[in-house]
Amino acid sequence: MKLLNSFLLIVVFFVSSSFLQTKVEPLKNSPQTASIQINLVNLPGVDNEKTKWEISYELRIISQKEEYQAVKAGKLKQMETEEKIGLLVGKGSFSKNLLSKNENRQFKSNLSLTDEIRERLKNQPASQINLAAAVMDEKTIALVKEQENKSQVFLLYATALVYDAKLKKNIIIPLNRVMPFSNHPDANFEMSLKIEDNGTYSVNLIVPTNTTSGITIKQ
Amino acid sequence: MKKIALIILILPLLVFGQKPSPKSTPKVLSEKEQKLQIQKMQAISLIEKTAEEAVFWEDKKTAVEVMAEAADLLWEENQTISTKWLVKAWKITDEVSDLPKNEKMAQFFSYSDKTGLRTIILRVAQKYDAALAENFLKQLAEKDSDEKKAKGAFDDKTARSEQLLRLAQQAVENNPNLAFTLAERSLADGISYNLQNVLTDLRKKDANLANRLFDLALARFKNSPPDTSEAQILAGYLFKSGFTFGTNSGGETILVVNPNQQNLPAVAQSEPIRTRNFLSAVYQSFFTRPILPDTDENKKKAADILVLGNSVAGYYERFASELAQPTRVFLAQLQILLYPNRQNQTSESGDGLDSLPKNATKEEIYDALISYLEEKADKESDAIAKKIAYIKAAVSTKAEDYKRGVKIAEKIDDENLREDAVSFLLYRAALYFVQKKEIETAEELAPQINETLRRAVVKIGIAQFLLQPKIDKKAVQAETDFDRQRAFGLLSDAERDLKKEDSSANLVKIFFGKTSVLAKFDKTQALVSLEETIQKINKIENFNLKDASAPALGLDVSSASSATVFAPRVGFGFQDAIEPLIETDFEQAASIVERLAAKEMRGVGRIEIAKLFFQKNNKLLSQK
Repeated sequence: MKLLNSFLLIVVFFVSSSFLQTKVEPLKNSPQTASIQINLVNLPGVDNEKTKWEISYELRIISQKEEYQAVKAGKLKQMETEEKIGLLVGKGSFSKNLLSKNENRQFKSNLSLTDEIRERLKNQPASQINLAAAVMDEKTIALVKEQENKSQVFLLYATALVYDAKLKKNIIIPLNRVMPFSNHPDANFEMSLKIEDNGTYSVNLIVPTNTTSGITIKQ
Repeated sequence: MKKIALIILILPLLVFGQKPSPKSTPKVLSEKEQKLQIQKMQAISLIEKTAEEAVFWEDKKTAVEVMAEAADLLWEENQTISTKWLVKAWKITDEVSDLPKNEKMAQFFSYSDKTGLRTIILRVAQKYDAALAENFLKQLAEKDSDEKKAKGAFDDKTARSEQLLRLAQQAVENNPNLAFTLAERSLADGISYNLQNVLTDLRKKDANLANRLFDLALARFKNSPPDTSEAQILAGYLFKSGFTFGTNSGGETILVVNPNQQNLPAVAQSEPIRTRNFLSAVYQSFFTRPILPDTDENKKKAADILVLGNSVAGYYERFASELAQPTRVFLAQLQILLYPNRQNQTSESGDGLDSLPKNATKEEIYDALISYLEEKADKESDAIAKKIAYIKAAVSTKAEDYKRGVKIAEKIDDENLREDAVSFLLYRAALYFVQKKEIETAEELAPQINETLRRAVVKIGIAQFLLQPKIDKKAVQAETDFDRQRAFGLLSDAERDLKKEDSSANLVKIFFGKTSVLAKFDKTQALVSLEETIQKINKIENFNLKDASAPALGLDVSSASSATVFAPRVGFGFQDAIEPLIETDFEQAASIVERLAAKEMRGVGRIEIAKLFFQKNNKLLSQK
């Protein structure tokens, strides 16, 4: 049994040491565009021609450090539209009716990324430091700070206004989301929106499964 | 035919159920008395049948409510069976969720369905059998270690103390001594939030008892590890009744207000020695021990102390002046340690009122606020935010200033939203004018309301007003008859409109409202309306027969809008519809309720009918 334990420790050390890191490695490449896709997957009055939906949105970008500051200041609590923060990536709005047609229940917008934004995304750390396993010394703290400055976070400020003619209801749905670039490396943001027969709704942000994994810092 | 069958079924019960009385000669009952006796047996049968069935219902919450109510109604008639129901109901509460009823309020109170049901059962047990109540409380104390993991800032200390204080609160009015005893017992688990409510209400009935309870609580506070929440409860009682401060898990100040206890004279004024004792104890417990906010736990502790300190600091000068200066210094230092960046903050209200002169009238302030909100909406660039901003501005207008509200709402660039907002503003205005007895204006507005349910509520509200007994006794009969005709016309209009509507909880409530108004002058029509209402209920998934609140006809996109409506004083609940029919049409009403499809709802309906019957004939239950 002792022999088996020693073997496991050696294996763990071998695996961990393969992720040793002394500096934050950048991604070096970035997407040309960001996209927002929203799918209205269900609503009771879908077949009623008076049913319609409308969306207005703004996509913004901040660093992870700015995100922490905003959280502390309570600015990301409700993501009130009056207190938008970050650099604007793009904004727009749309309105559609005749929702029985599938294409009218989908919305996609491609937003070109400026050079400034692309540069920020290129400098995004290729992997995230595993703080739980890190030894906290000056070097690690410096690395963590660098990571916070370089990691990028997208902020979606968006609202959907749906009129369901079957329910005879106007429904306002906040779609505001904080979306770390590390979870969406292609800068594609896809959401599904579902309205139930009683007028309640749910919003689901799809997070890609192949997101970056954490790494362990060891001295 | 149904009515006759029912009477035939019940008669044998009546005849064979009576015990022979050897000496007294049988009293000859009048026809009216005989009818009442038959109805009494029927009401008892309804209760027993429902309580026995409730044990097997899937909806455990309703089952417990019904069984406790059945026990309360029949205790004096049959103590054994009532005890059995109550014990069974207590057991069933274990199967009811103890999650907070309202997630949004969970940081304040984690009050659950389970807690509420236990209170209902304990209230009945305490009323008739104190030993049984004691037994239930003992079980609660044993369960405490397993329950209530996540607490709200204003939760009582334990499930046991919560129930003791709720019972005390219920007892204050009629039995202050019992309230004192129950509240005193709760102190064994610490000083709980509800103690403040009990202390305040007890003081209104008996200041000496309240003082004794306060002294016991203060002794408990002094002899326990320092707890700011306990100090806040006693501070609320002494300095600002109805208000209690606290902090949430994030260290933010939160406040809970009990509107029933607001604006009472401060107890501190008449109890300076007790106040001084309290302030000294707080000083010793919190303001003499430096605390370094270096960890999250210590930050939370420091924030709690600062919130407490800021709420009591102003009273030291008057009641414990030698401690005023050191308290101020301590709090100033703690403030800097906790919030070093808050020294030079300035505040700006941002509501457009900053430019108003200090002596601005209420009207000027109102006018400036609405103009500010409208301008803000005009300037908004986001398409949806703009619509919401116009709604906010329109809803902020006064109900009687509906023309201005409508003018703002007409700027909304969305047909559905605009029509909904305009219809709401007219509905709100019409109900305001009904309340102000300006019926002609309300009648003018009613046909302009596009939305059917809102229009129906206004018409029912006007009809109810017209049917009220005239205060001016000189009002001629012809005028009364004319008003009755107008009322009947309005109710017929409402009914015609409502027939086209899909069934919903709001529609059912409006039907109950219509039934209740109709019952005042035409019982036959009211029974027809009641039957229609039951059919509407059977078409929807769920409806709470005990919910007597007005239908929620506010704006879907503005949750605050409902709160700005003067709901008509028509009862919109099942009880309101049934109550005027109980004395004259008990059997018919009971028979209509049997047509409710859902067994739980049918059970609640039966219990409500029986309860109303005994309320109207309360002497009957004591007659065997």
